[in-house]
Amino acid sequence: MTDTATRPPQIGRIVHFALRARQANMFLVLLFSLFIGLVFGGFLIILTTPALMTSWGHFFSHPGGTISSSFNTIWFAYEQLFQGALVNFHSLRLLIDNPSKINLANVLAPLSGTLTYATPLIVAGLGLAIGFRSSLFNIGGQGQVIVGGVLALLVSISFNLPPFFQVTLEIIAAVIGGALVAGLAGVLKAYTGAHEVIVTMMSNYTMVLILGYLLITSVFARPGVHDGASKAIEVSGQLPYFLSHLNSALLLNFGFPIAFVTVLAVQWFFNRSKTGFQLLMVGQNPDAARVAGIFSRRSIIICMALSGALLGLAGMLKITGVDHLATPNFGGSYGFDAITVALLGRNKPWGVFFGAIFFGVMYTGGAAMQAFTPTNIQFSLSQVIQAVVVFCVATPALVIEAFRLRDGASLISTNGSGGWV
Amino acid sequence: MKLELRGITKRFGSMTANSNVNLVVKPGEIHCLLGENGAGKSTLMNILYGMLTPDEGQILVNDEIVTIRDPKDAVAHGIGMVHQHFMLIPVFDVADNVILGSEPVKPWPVIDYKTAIAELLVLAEKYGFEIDPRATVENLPIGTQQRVEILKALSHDASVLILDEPTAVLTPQETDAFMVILRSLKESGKSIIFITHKLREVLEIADVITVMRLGEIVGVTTPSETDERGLATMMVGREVNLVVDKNPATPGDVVLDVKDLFVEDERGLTSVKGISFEVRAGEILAVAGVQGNGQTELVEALTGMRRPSGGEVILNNVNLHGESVRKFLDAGIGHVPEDRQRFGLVLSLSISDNLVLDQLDDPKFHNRFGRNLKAIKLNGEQLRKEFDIRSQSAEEPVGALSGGNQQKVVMARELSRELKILICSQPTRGLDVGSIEFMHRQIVAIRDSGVAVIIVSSELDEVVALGDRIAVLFDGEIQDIVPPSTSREDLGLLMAGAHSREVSA
Amino acid sequence: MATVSKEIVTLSNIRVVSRARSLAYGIALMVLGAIEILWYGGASSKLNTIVQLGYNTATVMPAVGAVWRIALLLIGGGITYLAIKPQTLASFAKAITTVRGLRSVAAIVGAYLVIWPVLLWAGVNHGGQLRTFSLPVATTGYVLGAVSIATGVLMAWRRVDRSASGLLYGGLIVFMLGFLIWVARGSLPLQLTGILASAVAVSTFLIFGSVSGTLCERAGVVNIAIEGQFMAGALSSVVFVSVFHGSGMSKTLALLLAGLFGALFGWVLAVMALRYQANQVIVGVVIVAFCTAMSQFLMTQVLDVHQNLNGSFGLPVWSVPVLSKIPVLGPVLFDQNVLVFFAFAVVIISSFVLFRTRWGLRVRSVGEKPIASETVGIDVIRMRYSAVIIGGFVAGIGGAGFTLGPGSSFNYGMTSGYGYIALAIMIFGRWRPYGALMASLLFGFTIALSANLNLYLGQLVIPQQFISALPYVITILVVSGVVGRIRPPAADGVPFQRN
Repeated sequence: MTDTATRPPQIGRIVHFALRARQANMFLVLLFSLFIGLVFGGFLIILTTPALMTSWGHFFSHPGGTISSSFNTIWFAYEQLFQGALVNFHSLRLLIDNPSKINLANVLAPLSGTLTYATPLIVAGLGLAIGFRSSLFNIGGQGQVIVGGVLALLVSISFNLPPFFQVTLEIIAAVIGGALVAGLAGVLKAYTGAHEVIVTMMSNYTMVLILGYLLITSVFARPGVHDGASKAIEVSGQLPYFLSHLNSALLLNFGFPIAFVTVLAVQWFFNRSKTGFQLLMVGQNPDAARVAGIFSRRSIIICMALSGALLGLAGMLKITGVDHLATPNFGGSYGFDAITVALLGRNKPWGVFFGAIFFGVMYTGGAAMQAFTPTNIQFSLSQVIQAVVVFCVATPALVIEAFRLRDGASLISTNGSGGWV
Repeated sequence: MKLELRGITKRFGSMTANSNVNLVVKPGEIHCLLGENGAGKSTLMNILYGMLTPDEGQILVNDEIVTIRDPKDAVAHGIGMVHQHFMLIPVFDVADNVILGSEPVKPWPVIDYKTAIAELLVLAEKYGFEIDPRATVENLPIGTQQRVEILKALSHDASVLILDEPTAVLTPQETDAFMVILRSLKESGKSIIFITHKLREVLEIADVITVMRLGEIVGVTTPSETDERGLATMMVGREVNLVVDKNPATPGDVVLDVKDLFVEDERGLTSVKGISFEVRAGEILAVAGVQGNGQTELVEALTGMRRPSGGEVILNNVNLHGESVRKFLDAGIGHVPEDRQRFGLVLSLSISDNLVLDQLDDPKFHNRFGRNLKAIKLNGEQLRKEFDIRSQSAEEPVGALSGGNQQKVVMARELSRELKILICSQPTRGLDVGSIEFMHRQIVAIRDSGVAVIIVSSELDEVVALGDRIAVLFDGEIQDIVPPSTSREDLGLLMAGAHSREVSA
Repeated sequence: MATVSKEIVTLSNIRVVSRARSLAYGIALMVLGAIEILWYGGASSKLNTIVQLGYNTATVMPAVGAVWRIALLLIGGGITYLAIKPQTLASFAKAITTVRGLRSVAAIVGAYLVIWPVLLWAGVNHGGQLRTFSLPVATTGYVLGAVSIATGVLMAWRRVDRSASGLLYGGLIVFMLGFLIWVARGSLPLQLTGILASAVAVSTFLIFGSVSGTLCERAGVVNIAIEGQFMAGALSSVVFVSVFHGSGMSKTLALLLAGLFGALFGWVLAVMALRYQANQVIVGVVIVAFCTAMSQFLMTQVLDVHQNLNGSFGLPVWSVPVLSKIPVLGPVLFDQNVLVFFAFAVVIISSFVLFRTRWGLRVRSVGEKPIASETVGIDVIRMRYSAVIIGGFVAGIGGAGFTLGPGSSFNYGMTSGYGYIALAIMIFGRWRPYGALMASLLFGFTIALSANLNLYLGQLVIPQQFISALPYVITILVVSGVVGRIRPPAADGVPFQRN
């Protein structure tokens, strides 16, 4: 390293800026988390690509080649991931050269896929964030998504209203369904002390089984077909696409604006509503809430019900906007993805919004990466990177220490879970 | 064993808990450490036991300097401690509690209960304890639990035993039995450091008495050289630290009428035993007393936090017995709780938000879009100025404020409501002098505006300075309600459990 | 002043509630009994259910002469009587440990000798075939229904203070039995022993998981990452064994490796929770997310390409000589793969370690009141580290139970939430290894049952999914305190910070 005096002044300024930038803030923690995730993923790529491993075996005979080939492989994979999820540079160039409808559609395609995937996740993540803010862990997202989706499907099967009313009714049914399921966990927590983690977890499995049963009943099953999938949602009950005039493959639908509005609503709820404030108080300091005359049992139930309501809505958005029918695997891993999205977004509505979009990026980008890398780097690598990122974000103390960030204390919360019963 | 503390100083932030404390404990002596709450007695003993590290000073055992970094070191040097809050594990049995940390094993990892219990019984017999080694600790009466604590210390071969307010939790009968135990310990050659603020016990048992006030040693004496009056004077201090300018009260109608109130604590023991009193508009009733005599439960009952097991709490002719906290607050009760950080504030929220914690329903703070953030912020800025809360803005988190400013937030919040009565529990505990004066002025001002005030405090100075009438609480009962002109010594005696008759005699 | 949790569940109101609860249980049992009588009793009186107690003709013990049987019966009765008669109890009451243990061993052996000849008769090779009983469905329904109602009446009337009483379990077992007999009506025999044997096999990883949870939570750390530790153990062990083509030694080492991987994630949890003071539940969930993604990645990226790395190798089945030939209990308990025996051993060892050794006492103390432990010189953080890492080790071995136990290859969905159920089992078992064992067996039974009921799908009125949901619903009831007041370690999930 050169002496400070001999450095050109610009470098000094950069160093100074870099030092100041080491002041810990959430943005830096996120950035470093992403960095750690990508590095970890890179190692996995090297370890699981036989050609690279062979070349590392002869590392000492040509170290440069080994490093550059490894770097190129990793870079190419991440490039595919990025282009597949956000913007494809090739189609962008085509669009600039030749602005046509079809080229525009091609440019929008990756983003449309990402946002479509992210839409239900935004709402589900918001539901979780409501719970987390009150120190309640609603692990039952999967079950509540199922309930929301199934009730929306039921409405679509049972009624035949004009599209607007049909969709509204679906939303109402899904919201109420989700709220009831999670609210039950809240009631059990408030009155018997049953830990919501276990109760909601078990409700997941129960709901999956009930879904499995419902799909073979005459109400939901298509007559004569035994593939496990339900009747489809009628067009009047579907959320309309809004880019389909460009290309019918663009699946972005009106669920996205609904999710957007939900973000605003939750933002309002957190900052401006009385109930939201009370829930925050109960979560942060239940004793002080009690002194201030807030009935904590009621808060617990309301909080769980609201959380469930949003997860129910997420299920509705998924079935009416994306899937259009229910399969036994309808709930997917939504519950856990929603938890991690909420963690990633630090329980802030806009944080959750971008957290879910990050998940969408990893999902669609992961698929692209699998399809376009010569060695078929599997989709699940994106999930690993995602998990590492969330891990780092969940324990900011680790990142702060690893990168020697300063004044990180405010980012580290040390609240315990407080046990089970 | 001879124990000596030399020049011990301990600071917590800006507060000095112990300043240049010197103490010598000779072998086989009962050394009483006397002082008010917050005088620094417990801090000193926690330093001796390795729970805290001193900033300056040395500890000498048998005239040799030793370092005590953690309790393990202290035990190794023959120091044992019985904490005020027992360090027993409630679900373990007596034997497990006693051997924990120095378990006899045979063969290696297996605990040799046979030896352990035999040794325990021998030890218990030596000091005349009757104890079932297999009884679960949480089922034992407090007095017996204390004996388990003593046994635990003795089983580590302690030759100096620190007893931190051991009689604070005991009934009078248990206290008598405890004195017998102390004597037998002394006879067997153990040195005892006995921390207390109960004068009578000190005179009964001590060989040497060291009195502490505000972190310093103010005197060393013996029972033969002094009496209760002398000790009280030393403990409380001769000069009045705080003068509050106030005019004589002009009491109005009865606002709060408490009749025959009984309250149970968490363990189901009756800690408020049939208290009756009334408070009038425009007067301050100060509740004095040594901590742990039912103050906490009394305040909880008066604010709806705890449902009384008997009696009535009547506010402006409305019986509030059994109502929710919300109803108590709505009825016009203001509450400044004892532990402001735990019960009074949400530390992560801003000052403005904390200033409306219990006023969420107030239409003032609402508009058609929900909570009126502007009004809340304005209210915050206004109160911040009015109450001189030192911060950059009202949007800072309360957790960043100093203790005095945090207390100002709580006080400002309560005073900004329409109150009939204000109940303050230990309103100035841990505050600096400036904040204390400010608090006192506010309390007098609210009294003068015609609100009834109850101050619960274990600081005698505060009680005398603020109270228009002083109710002395002892063992869950009101000993007497006396005027503030009563002498400090007499108040001290009442707080120590003497009755009015004895005092005036 | 009470905190929120205390406001909701206090000791005193639990006592009041448990008496009321006893009444409610009584009424519930009576209703169940009535259903049995009306429903099963109403079945056509001609219908019979064939119950088969024997299991596998190969393991059936050769017939024993009548004289021997009677002699055994008498000896067993004698030992039992001696062991449990009040005088014995009184004379041993003051003595500690060893003598008391001997007495209970004697009681068990004696009782077993009594039951043995009966079982021998019931399950023995009968003229070249396994003996079967033919029970009339309707009559059984009436009888069992009456028993359920009687139990219910007794419970409602006596208002037992401890609501988790034998009466409740007895009543429920009777109801279950009635249900089974009703479902299995017809020509297909009800293989009770078969169900029990698979129940024990299924319980294996639940036992490991719940003991792991018990070890961690006794030290005051919530280990919600058991699911992830399962995955790590399952995957690592199967790959290791496959590399060595399933040689005997490699299987032993694979178990060790599985344990080490579990311990690794236990260590990660410990570092995050103890060193960085992160929320334990969040860290647990995130570890599970990581393990899920990682195992999925390794599965798709590596194992699907190199399928020889993901072989199906089972641990050897160990038939305990003599004991495995005992009717009913033999195949259920003594003719299982090695891991089942390991599971039993883990329960016994962990219980002994927790409640008899120095380490156990200290671990329990830091889980109850760490500040008290610190005042006697115990390093709280180190105790917690050791407990969480050992807990992770146990869970990792349990993970091997998914792959090496039944001898199947790894599949990333295979842990299917059993790690979380293990936590519920831990609560059900009241944070005790033996409790965890019993609760695991109960859950294992419901899981095996729902699998077995597939045989009778046509005769089920209740959809099969509902039966499968039973373990989960029971879990919800358990944590809602239906089994009575359960007290977790007082410092469970509470971070400890030295001043």
